[in-house]
Amino acid sequence: MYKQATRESVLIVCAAVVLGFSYTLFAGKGFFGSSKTTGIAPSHGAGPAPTPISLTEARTLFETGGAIFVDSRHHFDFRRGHIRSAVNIPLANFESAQKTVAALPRDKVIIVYCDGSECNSSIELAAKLYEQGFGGVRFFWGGWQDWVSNKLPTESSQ
Amino acid sequence: MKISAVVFLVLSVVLSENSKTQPKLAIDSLTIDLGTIYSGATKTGTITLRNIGNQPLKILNVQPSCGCTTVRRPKEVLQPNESDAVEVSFNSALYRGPVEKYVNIETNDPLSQYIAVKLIADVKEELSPTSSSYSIWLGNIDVGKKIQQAFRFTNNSRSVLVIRGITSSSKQIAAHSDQKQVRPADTLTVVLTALADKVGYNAGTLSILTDSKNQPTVELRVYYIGQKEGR
Repeated sequence: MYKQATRESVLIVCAAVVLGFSYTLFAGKGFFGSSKTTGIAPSHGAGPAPTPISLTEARTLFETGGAIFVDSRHHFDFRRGHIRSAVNIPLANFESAQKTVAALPRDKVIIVYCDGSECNSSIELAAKLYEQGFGGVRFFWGGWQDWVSNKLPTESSQ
Repeated sequence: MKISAVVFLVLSVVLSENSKTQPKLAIDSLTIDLGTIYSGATKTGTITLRNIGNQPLKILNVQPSCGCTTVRRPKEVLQPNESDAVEVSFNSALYRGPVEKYVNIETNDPLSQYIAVKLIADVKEELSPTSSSYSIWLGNIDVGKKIQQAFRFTNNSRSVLVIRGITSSSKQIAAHSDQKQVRPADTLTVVLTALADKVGYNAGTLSILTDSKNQPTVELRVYYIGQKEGR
């Protein structure tokens, strides 16, 4: 009885090992997977370097859903108000916001904005995204001030 | 039933006591009006924070909304009835006309954890760019290449302005002008040269030095992105 139980246990473990290796072999994961790490490889741009975008063009992309807006201001300012559906990646927290960066869509235009034409965090963040492999990043020079003064859709997190 | 009533009574007393014993932030003003200021000048305003609660008030963060504003941080903890001043300095370089900025204050006051103090100013200019902004986007420049561009300024003052020189904060950005002075309503032409020495973000500040008492320095912020050749 005891011997039979041991034999069955060994068989089950062996079957599990064979099944596991077979899966990783076909899936290219785990033991048989490549040593490539996931995430964004710094490639200095998968496309053209960032360029400015006008309010008219930004608005069109907003209305057609062809772009995601990234707010580079401090989270306090983002909470008080931001372009509707924008994602907050404060320039100062760029390194710690890598999960948010990795989740940015690659099939949409990324429009980065900050407060207005006097601030530079939008350009700097756009350049960082470009350096991380995002192509077609645009920065909206007029920023939050221009968007609000034109009474375009906003929301707040307060 | 009796036990429930006792528990309810005890909780009510505890909760009501907690609501009484808490820190409470009071600010003497939610707006700092700096009045008129010439572009390039720095002006300072003050607000006073007071703890009108009966528990220590922790000032967790005082964060200006832009790099143009600096803050002398208050004490980290204000005891009941204690107050402290917060000095807020605004550097108006690069700004024109009416300006509205914020200083965000985060505390442990449960009723007002986040408070935003508005900072307003009206920025005047004597020498102003003919373009809409003091910020200049040069575009994407191939690494190893230089770009040259001219920028113009108008003398809006009633007197002749003497140009004493132009300095740059960056080795990759330089500027010069052949004009030594600018008459009222005339324009000053500045030629700027920028070199892309690396891939990625580049920025620098150009300072045009004048003999104006109101606006002795006119600052320009220059941005560009270095890109691999042929992008």
